[in-house]
Amino acid sequence: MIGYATRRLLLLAPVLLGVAAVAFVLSYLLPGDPARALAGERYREEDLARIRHELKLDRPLPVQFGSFVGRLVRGDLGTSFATGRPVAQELAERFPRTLLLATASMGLATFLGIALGVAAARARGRFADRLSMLLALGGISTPVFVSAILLLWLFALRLRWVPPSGYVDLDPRTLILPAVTLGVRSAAVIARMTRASLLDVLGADYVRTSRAKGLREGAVVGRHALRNALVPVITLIGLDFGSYLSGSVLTESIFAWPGVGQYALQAILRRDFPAIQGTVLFLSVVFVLANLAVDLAYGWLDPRIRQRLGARGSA
Amino acid sequence: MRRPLAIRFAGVCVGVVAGWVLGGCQATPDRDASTLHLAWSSDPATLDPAKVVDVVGANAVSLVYQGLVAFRADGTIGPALAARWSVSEDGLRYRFELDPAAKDSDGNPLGAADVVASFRRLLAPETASPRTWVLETIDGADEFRRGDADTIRGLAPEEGALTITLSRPAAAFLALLAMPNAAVVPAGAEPDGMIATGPWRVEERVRDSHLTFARNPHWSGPAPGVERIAVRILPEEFTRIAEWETGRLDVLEVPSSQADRFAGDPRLVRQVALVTEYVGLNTEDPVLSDARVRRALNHAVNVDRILAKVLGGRGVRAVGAVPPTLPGGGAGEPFEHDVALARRLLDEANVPDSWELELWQRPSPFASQVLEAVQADLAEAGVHSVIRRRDWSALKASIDAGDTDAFFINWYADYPDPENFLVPLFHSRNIGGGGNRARYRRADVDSDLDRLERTADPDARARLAGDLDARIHADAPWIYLWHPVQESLVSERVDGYRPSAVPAAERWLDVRLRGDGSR
Amino acid sequence: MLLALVLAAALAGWIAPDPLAGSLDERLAAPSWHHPFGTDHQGRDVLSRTLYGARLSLGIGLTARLVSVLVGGILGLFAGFRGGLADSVIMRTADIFFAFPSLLLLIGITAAFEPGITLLLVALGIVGWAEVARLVRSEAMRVRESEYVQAAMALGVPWPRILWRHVAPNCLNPLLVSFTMGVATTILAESSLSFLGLGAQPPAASWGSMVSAGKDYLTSAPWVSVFPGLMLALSVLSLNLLGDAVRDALDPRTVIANPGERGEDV
Repeated sequence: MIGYATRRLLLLAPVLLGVAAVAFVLSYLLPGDPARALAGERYREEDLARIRHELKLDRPLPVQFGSFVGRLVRGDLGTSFATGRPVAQELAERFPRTLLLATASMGLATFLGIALGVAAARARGRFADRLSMLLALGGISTPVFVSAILLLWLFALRLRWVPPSGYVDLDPRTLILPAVTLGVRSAAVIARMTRASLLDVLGADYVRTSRAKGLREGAVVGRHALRNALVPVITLIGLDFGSYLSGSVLTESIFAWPGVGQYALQAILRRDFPAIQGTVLFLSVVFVLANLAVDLAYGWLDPRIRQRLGARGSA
Repeated sequence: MRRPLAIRFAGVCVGVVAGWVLGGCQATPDRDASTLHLAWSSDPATLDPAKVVDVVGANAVSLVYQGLVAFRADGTIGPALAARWSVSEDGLRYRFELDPAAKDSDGNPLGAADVVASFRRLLAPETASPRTWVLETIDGADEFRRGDADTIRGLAPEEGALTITLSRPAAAFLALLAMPNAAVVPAGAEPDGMIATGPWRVEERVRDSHLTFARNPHWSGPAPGVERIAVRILPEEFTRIAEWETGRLDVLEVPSSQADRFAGDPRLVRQVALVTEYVGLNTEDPVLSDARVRRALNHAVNVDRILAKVLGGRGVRAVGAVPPTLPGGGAGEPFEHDVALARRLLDEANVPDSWELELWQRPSPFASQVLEAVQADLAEAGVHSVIRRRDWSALKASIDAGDTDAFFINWYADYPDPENFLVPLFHSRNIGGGGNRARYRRADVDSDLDRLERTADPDARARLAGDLDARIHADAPWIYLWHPVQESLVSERVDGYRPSAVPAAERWLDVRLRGDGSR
Repeated sequence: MLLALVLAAALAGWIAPDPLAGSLDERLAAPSWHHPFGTDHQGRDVLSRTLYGARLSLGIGLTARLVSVLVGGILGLFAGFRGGLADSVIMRTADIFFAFPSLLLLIGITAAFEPGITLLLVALGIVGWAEVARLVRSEAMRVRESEYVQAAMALGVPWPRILWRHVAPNCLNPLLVSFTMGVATTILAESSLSFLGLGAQPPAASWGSMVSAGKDYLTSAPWVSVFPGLMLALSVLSLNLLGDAVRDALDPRTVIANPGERGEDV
């Protein structure tokens, strides 16, 4: 197990180098010019050249790439063109906010999704099952920006239960709407998976045995079936969590949530190369680590996989 | 209990979370009664006067820093660090007597040395400021910014005063000094607004979330009417509206898409902004270099109708680059909407049927609406056009490099003077990034613009500006559109609000909050 | 329902009036007999634009996903079957694309090049290929170990032939499932891009760009964004249902067959 984790971490290095290269190439392929973005609407060509020189944009590309990789190796993500602050510091300020939103969303999604899935599985084939699965499908099919706008309109504008936007520094209730927006979507996916997986397990021999032993249905589901049925669900939760950690651009901008997603979008729009590259790299690390954690958790929960993991290189 | 475990567990957790969340809101201290609540559409990337170029940034810098002089809300120039000044007969020497009471927000006195340090910083090559042009008329500034001189010859500081000598007369020099770029940062302080020279200082800053400005206790001017300004950063228009609707903002600039909705709202304050919106035409393009073609496009587009329908009438039709509220503004003869005339002009110019005009814009819904309407009007006159959307950075790079035929864009005044429209927008030395994006080049216009920069007499200046603007308008380097009317919603509890002429003039000095301050 | 949507998209040219024709005088008109879904900010018929939007949204979804599945399928097949260096190179590249924040990649690509349908197809296609490649690779590896393939190899049948005749057909099912499920995901991704102004270019309209343009009128003229939004959700819903059905019919083993059902950027 530990050997497996180490091997995966070692494999991370070439992947991250690749991500860094793609991010570097992509930022230079973007049309537009970081120096012009900083120069505003009225500038002299001489001043533009000066800005370009100060940003070291006048050096040949391979040299720029070399110093970029050199900095990365030393753990330096560079300095933002736009704000002149270290990219690592900008990310360190924003990532906890994204983490909070991701945790709240996934917490909500987990409870809601599992509850709905279990309820649906127990009511299999009946109206309640159909209805909850249709709801879940609806949740999956609604684009985030549509549900975000609808939630904002209903709960903030019409009912006035919560503030429309902001960050918990200003008002803790601001967490609710973005968390629900993201959470509902994941809850829908989790509910479907829970139901399918639970139905699978409920058909298994040992469950039938415990039923035959006269255990009440609630106990069967709660004690035996659910534990096993949740294995694939946990994978799903982990994957979703990983992708929320890499920032939710639309949700964050609609609810003015100052996380990494908004930062990344701004970096692209401002052609802030160090910020683009640093953010992409950081988010990739977070995503890969979240995936690794999922795989490890999966192996830990399911002994059959645990054995296989020992033998395999990558998943 | 027949309910599944998960549901019970979920119930408990939802309860706990809700309790925490709802209970938490009492923790915020209530200082509402003395705080003005605003929203900005973006977080200013920098508060450094040497670096700031955008509207929000100019606004922010003007709150925390001031220069020798400052804009009043109406755009006229008033004292700031300088209490008094005099100008020599030839318009070349400015003597500023500094306010002896001027202090930074830490209580340290501010003197001529601080002013000189800030000016040196703006012009120094290693600062790489995009705004060196603001102070370029100072004698010796050019050598200094090239790195050929160690001092700026034209700056003569003394105890309590500063004399500035210019290399050529510049009628707008005081206005340039009032720009945020010429503001003074205490010598040696970080340009982050924490140690301020203006009426406010940055009290709290959470990037992308909010900025709180508190009164600068040592500011020598009359104390502002509110204790604090709390600014939320709200990039989405929809979100800003929602915040206003729920009573969490005191002032909101109304987005054009919401004009109809708030029309007739008694809380509305309107003014014609010192902004000109236009479709620039690349006069170096082989087809567009023919003035008949450019005039034809102006005749083809029904500006009045677009103004009425898309902007809901919130704008004044532009008959020149200079807004009618400035001296010399509104002098041009409007192009009649005349499709037949447009077709005839295009025929005369032998424009081939296969000609296709590319209309460039940034990807905003408003710009799309305007250009889609322009496109439809052009089609009626037989001009086929396609719309190209690029994000702002890409669009600006293409326009400044002269790679675009036609582009929807606007010009915001830095200082309220016709010169600030005509010189950057049409002088051939400003082609490209200097502001002349139509790449307009006419020797007679250039020499008259040079004369305008030197002319100090207000009447002569207005006459010259009006004449120039009308002449250029007739030559049609743009499709002239409009000067938008800016509408702001101002909540009932706000007293003394006046819209400002330019972003740098919006310093919230006269605003007071009524009664108990409850919103 | 899906059939009706596809039909509507296909027949839009005959049944709907010109989606570009509109007069500013009829701006933001409420739904009526003449304009059943009302008109938008340019006075264009929302129903007709929604129908044409179906064409664009479904078309982009299908084609882009086809690109992903083809690229990912071929590379995954090759990697899984040949193994060795080819496998390492392909799968490490897939890892890079998998790790790269996908909405940022999409924004980057669409901002970088001439916006338009082709670019959208390529961008959305690129973003999706890695997960398909992973799926197909594991399937191809499984098939390769099967007795009949081993037998064919022992008999000296050339590998391209084995790949084509024996391995590829066996990987078809997961590929088909992944395709159906992915179309819904791709349509949502396109709508997210359009919402940011980077999707389909005006005056053409995808559902995403219509919702985006209409959101500013949500309180005064809700029909401008509600109808295309509804259609978007409905078609994604039916595609998901179809995906479920295809999965149940072809590949009941696969529990997590919809790797795209994840995160915001789908």
